[in-house]
Amino acid sequence: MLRVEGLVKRFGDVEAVKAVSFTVEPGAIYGFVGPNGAGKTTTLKIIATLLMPDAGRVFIGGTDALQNPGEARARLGYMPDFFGVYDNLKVDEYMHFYADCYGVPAAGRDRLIDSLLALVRLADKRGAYVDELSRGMKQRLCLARCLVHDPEVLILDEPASGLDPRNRVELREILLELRRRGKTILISSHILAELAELCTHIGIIHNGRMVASGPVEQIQREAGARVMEVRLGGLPPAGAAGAAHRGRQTAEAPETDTAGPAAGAGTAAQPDTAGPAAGAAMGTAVGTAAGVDERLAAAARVARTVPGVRNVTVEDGALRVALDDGDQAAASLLSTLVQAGLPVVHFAEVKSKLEDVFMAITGGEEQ
Amino acid sequence: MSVLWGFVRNPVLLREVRVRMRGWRTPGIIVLYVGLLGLVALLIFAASMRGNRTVGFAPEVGAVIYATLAMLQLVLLVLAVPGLAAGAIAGERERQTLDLLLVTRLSAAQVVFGKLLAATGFALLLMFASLPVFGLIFLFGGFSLYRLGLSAVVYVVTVLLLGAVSLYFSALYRRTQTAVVAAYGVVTTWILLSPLFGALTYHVFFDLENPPVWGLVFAYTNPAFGLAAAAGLPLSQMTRLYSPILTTDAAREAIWWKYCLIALGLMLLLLWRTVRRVDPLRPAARR
Repeated sequence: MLRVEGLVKRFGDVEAVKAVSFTVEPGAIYGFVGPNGAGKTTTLKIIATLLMPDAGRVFIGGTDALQNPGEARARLGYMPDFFGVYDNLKVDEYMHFYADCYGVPAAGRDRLIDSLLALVRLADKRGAYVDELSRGMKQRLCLARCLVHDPEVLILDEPASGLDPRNRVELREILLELRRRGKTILISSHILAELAELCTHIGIIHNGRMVASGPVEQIQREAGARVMEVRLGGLPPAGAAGAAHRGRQTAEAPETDTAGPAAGAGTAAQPDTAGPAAGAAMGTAVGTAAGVDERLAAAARVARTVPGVRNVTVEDGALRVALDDGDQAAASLLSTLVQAGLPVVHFAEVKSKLEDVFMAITGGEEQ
Repeated sequence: MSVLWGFVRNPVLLREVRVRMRGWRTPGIIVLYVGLLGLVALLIFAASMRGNRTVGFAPEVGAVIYATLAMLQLVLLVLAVPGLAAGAIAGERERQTLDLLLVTRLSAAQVVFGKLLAATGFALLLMFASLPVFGLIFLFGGFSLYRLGLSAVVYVVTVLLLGAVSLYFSALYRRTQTAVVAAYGVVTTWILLSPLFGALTYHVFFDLENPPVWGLVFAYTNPAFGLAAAAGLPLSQMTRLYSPILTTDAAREAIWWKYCLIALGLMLLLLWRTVRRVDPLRPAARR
């Protein structure tokens, strides 16, 4: 449905997009992932016919988008990462305006707009001024705008950025509904967990280059990121730990947290000396949130010294360690942790998440 | 035909008209504009009728009122159009709505023409709203509807050209403020300073017996001369500045249509450049 071939885009001396190629199958939700400045938005703008590449081609359902932009625009709906709305325009007028711009026939347009507003849960806002809507509502309205001409392909650039969790959930449900209706969706996002639940395929772009593209399971397999979950004894169970330490952190984050008195209490902060001292340091900090962070951070630092370890994150009171494929790295990890005096009570392989794959492929660079 | 209809029934134009006509601001501006012209007409009338004048047929009073109103209207339009048009595209870019527009089936040309018609349409509305004030001169006689029609043609062409210049700067600069300053700078320099420079060219720098023909560029590109030639007496006296080259009345009167042709040509050239700048897939596009 969407085929991108060898896109190159330079801005002066900077090559923002370097020979990017990928294909999105009909009905797929393709997650386009990459760190800031990787070239995601530039690529999406080229696909949306808003930017001319220096080389490469884009096909939307067989139409060469750069040769026939008018035809391509009729087949795609584009939602940019940042967009504005017009003052003094009501939701209903906003939709009619874009319907006019897309040449949607006037007959039946009211019914169409009703159904689109109902889909994005804005049916009750039809008479409201668009500049008075909340950010989440504007995002959903913009999505409805994308759909006004019934495009086959949707290109959504960071559609969930700046939304609260409730709005994100709503957006995800709408996108799943659109997929059920047969739309092909290309979506970029920083929120990888969200993409993991949503996408059938992913593409990872890094420094302007496509480093991976395909079905999620295939990418996970090819990335070879085997993920081990490690739990330490003496820590509160996941639920309690979660209360003190909710969410996911990269291994680097606690480092700064423990840079105060705790760091002085134990040299466990230094990976090269993280032997028995690590255990001693942990023993003094059990039960407190700072102690949990400190012990996990120390364990993470030890884990990172093991050959074959690609990335370490802390999540729900456990370490998630992405390793090279094969048993050697896992065996080394376990023995190093135990030798460092860390009370390992749980060591098991878990299904890798999109974050693990992304970190493994991009070398753990910040998103 | 359908292409023409597509340009006339332009969604960008319809949206701008709808939004502009919402609220009291637009009717307020129209009332203010017509009120100002009417007040000036009344003051001139009052001043002309002082002394031993007979009431009734007074063509010289009508002519003075018309000449004053015509030039005042030109100045007001020169001041209004850049303010209306210079933010049209830069504003869309600043508001981050331009991409949403360009990704629709509207061509860059349709977007630019919609913006041009929306911006100049309001100036033309002001002009037509002032017609009753101009109608006052017919009370005094001595002025033909034909001359009023020619003047209207010069106004319409001038407004379109001013709109095209302003839109060009709007496409050239990313910020509305910069575009507005540039448009006002160029338009006021061109319209207000070029007659002055034209006069200096003839009376200071060149021999009056043998003036250079290229000096006519000031006559043929300045709406003030176009209007003067179209309006007839007493404004047409202005065109006598060029009598060393344009020796006959007919040649001097032809200034109005030559101005209109050149202005329309310039307008098309500027619009073409603007469309190329707005079209995202053109090399000249500035995103």
